[in-house]
Amino acid sequence: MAKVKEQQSIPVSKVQRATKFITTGAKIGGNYLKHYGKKLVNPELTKDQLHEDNATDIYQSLSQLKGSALKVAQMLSMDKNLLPTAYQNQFAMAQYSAPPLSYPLVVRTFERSFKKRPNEIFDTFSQSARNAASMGQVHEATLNGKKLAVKIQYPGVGDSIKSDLAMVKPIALRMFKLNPTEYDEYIQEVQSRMMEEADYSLELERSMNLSVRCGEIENLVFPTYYPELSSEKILTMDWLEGKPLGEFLKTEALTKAEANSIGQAMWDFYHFQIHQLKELHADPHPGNFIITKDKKLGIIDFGCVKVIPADFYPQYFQLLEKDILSDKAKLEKAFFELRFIFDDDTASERRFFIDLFSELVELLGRPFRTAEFDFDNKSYFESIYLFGERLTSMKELRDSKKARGVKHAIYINRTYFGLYNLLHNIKAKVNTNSWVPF
Amino acid sequence: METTKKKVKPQKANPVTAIGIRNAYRVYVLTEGKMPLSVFAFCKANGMTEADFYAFFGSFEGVEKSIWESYIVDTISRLAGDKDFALFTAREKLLTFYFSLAELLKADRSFVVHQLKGAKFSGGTPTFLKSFKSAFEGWVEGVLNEGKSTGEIAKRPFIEDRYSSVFWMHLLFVLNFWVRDDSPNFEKTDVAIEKSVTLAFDLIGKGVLDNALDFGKFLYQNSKS
Repeated sequence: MAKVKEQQSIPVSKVQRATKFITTGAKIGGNYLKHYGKKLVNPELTKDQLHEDNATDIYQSLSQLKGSALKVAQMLSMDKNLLPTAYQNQFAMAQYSAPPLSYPLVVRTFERSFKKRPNEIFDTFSQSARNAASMGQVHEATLNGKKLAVKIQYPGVGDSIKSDLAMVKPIALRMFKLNPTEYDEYIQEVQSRMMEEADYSLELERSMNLSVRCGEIENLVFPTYYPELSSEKILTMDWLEGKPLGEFLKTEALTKAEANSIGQAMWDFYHFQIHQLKELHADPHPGNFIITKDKKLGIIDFGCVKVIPADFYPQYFQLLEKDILSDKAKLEKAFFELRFIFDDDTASERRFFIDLFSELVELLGRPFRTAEFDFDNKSYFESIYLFGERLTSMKELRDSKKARGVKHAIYINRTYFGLYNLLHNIKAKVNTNSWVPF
Repeated sequence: METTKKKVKPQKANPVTAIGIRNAYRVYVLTEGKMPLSVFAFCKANGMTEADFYAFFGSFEGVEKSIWESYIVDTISRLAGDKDFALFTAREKLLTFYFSLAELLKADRSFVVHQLKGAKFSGGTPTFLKSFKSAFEGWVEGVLNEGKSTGEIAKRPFIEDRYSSVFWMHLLFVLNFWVRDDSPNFEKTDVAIEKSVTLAFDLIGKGVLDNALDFGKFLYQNSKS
């Protein structure tokens, strides 16, 4: 193994660009791995413990940042197969363990929005938070016999996103050896999504819109939203009875048929949005799904929505067309458009990247090439993980000076990875042609 | 700014009340940018007699003290109107107090900022803050005692006597933060209050500090031999 050699120079910078096709989480995860790998004295013996320690460290520093950095942690937490388990577990915790807002501050937020205290608005209102959300927390309330979920945003979140991200910048530049221009381009996309997430009025509008338009899809449940009980900082919706997906999978078992129907609902939900609505819920985190008592899929939290630009849609999704891998000219054209390869690449660079990205397209597009795909397929996910590992150790990637990939792909990739992982965890077999127009 | 340049419009404060004088004084200070030249001038501008004024206050400092004291008194009476308040922990009471105070001060921000920016803290508490301070300390003392009786706050001989002055310093910190806060709705002050009160209660609750003191005492006792 060439481990020692890799560790001498942290091979992360260009990987960042080249693997934009892989998610944010995958990249940064790989980077953490390499970065801390350097300190490794005896790789075989201490790896797990080291990861665990590192994950704890990273998690602790991130959790102090709350708001936006917590979001970054969440993004990392999604790619189970691309991150060592220890990291995964720590980051998964991030969503649940930010220090909660005190009740007096919750009251204050209500007074600001409605000039009333929560117990003057609702029949009952829980003083402590029931759940943490990434930029706020959820309280349970009742009104006229109806159980409601009331999401309250941390004050100053919108304001602090920019400064938080600015704080992350020097660390990221040093740790991931990025150049500032690359970093800015990437972070710009992340920042604009986060700013949108901090706007509950926008979230309310999108939640109502998307949940109505996706209402036809089978086995999906959406809460009703209450605009009159919502504001910029407060979002009120029905309380969906059931368990968050992550918790459900840990504590209960699904029958094969239930797993398939939930998985299919999730698949349809995403592909209906991508191909029909051209905008999507871009946060497939296990905390954002509820498994209801009758084993349907409840969708909460439309905070992070990515609108797919009209010119980007054909560029990106041509990678899913049936003949893309056999028609070399078509594939090459697609890679140009997506900035995987450039006109001024040398012949050998071009050959290298075409091969590399073809492999990636083949691997990640595999579920689409059969009518049905069983995500309960360990070897498939292992090969994705191994591929990610291999990317981080490629010299050609390190030496390439160009930023490869387009920024709109960041959240789409992230969504796909999240979706694949969730389907894998659910152990679902789905009809992958459903709602896919190719 | 010369007083001759612009006079405050005479305002009828009939019948003369302490609140009326306080309001007139506030308006004067904010439009003129300083204390009135004399009680006489102030009364004339506000259509009252000096006797009216002295019936309530001995001096302008007295008016200022009373304005500041009212911030605390009004905040406390507002808290008393909330039926949940009595059930709160000491930490929650203090948080609620600060949030309510910040809300109340918002209506009077110009005056508060004017006073605090002109104040010098080097020679101890500025005169205008004296009643404000004693009213706050009196209240916080009560909350701390409740906290001690429920065990929320650790009993620490000698040190605990200083808690109310520590919270006074904390209140000054919050005020100064608020004066400099330019975030919409002074949201950042809310965050500052939330975080600093949490920290303060972590420090005065039973925990690390007690163990550190205990250990320090042990080391001290054993170093003498």
